[in-house]
Amino acid sequence: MSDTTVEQHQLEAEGLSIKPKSFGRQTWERFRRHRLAMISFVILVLLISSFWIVPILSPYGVNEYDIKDLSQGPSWKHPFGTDDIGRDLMTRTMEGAQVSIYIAAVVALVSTGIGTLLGAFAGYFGKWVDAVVNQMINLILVVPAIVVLLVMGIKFGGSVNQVALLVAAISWITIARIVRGLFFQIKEAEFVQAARAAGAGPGRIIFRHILPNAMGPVLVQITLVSGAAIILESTLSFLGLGVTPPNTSLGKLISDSKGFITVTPSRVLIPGAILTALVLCLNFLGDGLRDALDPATRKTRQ
Amino acid sequence: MTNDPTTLPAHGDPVLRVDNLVKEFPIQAGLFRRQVGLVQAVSGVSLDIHEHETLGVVGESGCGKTTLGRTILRLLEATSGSVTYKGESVSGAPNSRMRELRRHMQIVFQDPFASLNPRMAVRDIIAEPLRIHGESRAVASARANELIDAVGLLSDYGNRYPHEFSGGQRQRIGIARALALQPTLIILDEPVSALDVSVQAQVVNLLEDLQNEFKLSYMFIAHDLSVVRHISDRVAVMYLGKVVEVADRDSIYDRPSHPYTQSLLSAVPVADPNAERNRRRIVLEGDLPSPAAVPSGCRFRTRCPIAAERCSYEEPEMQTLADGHEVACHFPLSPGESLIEVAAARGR
Repeated sequence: MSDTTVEQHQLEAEGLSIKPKSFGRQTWERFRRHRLAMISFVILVLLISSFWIVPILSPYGVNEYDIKDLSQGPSWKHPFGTDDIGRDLMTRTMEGAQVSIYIAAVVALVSTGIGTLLGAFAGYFGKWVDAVVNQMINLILVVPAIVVLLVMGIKFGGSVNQVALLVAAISWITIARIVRGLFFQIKEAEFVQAARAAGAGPGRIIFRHILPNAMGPVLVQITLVSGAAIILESTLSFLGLGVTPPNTSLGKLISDSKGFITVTPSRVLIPGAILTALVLCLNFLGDGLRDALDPATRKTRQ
Repeated sequence: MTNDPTTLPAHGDPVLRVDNLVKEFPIQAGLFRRQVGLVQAVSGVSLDIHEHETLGVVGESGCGKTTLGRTILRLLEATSGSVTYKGESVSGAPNSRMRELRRHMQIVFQDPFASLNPRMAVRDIIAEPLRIHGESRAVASARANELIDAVGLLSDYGNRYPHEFSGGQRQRIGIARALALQPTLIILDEPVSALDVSVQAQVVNLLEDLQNEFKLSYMFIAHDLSVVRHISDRVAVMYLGKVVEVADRDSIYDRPSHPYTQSLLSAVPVADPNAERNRRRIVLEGDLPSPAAVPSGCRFRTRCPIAAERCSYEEPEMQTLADGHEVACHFPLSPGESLIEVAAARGR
């Protein structure tokens, strides 16, 4: 009997041979065991779905005001209270959170796209391509982000998409640096050499061989970038350079209510808590993903 | 070239000719990546590999065996020298032509865990070379299934991922991938060094079977002398980037001429305990010199028990001895001469 048939029997005995486990499936199984990340994941899903569901169920419109209920604290009628012109804050907070999530998603998408592409080219081709990308990254690193955002915010701020693109223009560098480093490392791997020996061109090597093996850390970074994007957007909106009325966002809500912190502290605390919960959950999610994707823990199972 | 007529290589032009191949790596340091030195990993290697022949390449780690293999396939660009495949220049081939040439020359890597893309199913890994060279998905998959079968794996393994296999099975997958393009030459870069001894034998036998079936030429890079003896027709011994001795398998193992070859062979354990007890090992002094600062003259002289003054200033040329050995040494040992005795006679 050859070793392969012996091993085949062993595999069958362990119940492993019935279904091949893809990388994604393995990762998911490991992720599920990470309690904190799983809880964060569930909370995140609940929070985000509530942002879209609550405004639909709410009897109040976003910009509908009720002059009889100005600056109210939380009550059964208005669970999050009302603002100084009598708008229902639960509806507004959810609408604002929608905007924050939307911005986080756009930032994640755009910065991952730009960061992965530039990082991949820099890491794969090295030399002058790497030098150019590095200079771009350094430029963004040395200039304080908030100053750039403030200046740019004055010129371009206002629409939700503009704010998102502005934040993405700065956020992509963290992803680019990670992807670049991974590419430097993975391009020397023997399976990449094997692909080259078979005649594969740069496109195939970058997108079929290196990138799929670099996506783990990138995925982790995406969660962190999304969290950072929510904070950056809030900072901008708080400073009055983010989204403009009648739009709102979590940061804008906090900004609007800062004068009322002694009258109705819940006006600041509720959006603040939601903001914190979102960012925390995203970070824990990233931690869980990192552990699930870590090749070192994978090794022990081989 | 061996006594066994079935493995007698064909006459005529070699499949692969390596001529004075040099590969240098710059050593960079400091803020501006100034070049402060040069490592010659491969320094002027010339070799021929004939049709249906296995050339074993042995040497210590760090002697440039692996770099030699990769430079031949242009996974690393040579600093100088030339590689010719069936009379056509590999070193000078433009990219489009190089892609075609890669069909004929493939490689199997040492580390079965690093050489397979963990995100690709086995069938896709084996089919990929075919897809690169323009085969349709269906044809490539069908061919991959045949290859999975040819290397002794079950064909329903194709949907699985590399991490589900043992080292020996992965190495079989690596071999199947190398065979996909029906090459004539395969560079085997320590293909069994990472495997258990029992699995080594299976893989070596598989390689031999495949060689006979597909009329392959092998360059078998290894540091395990027993495995090399088993599989090779001819053997080249490398020391510090240079080939010091090339000869037929039996002749090199029975009558090593170069002092380095003899000391290398004396380190091989013998299975017979009595013989093993009486075995005289030649223990070389010192370490392999840094390839960034190679000794003048003969590179082996710093560790050679019979080095003379001439060795320190004159680099030995490759010379052909009466029995067909090619050896680069000023004082090659004649058949039956023992390095220990010669050294003793010279008062060392």
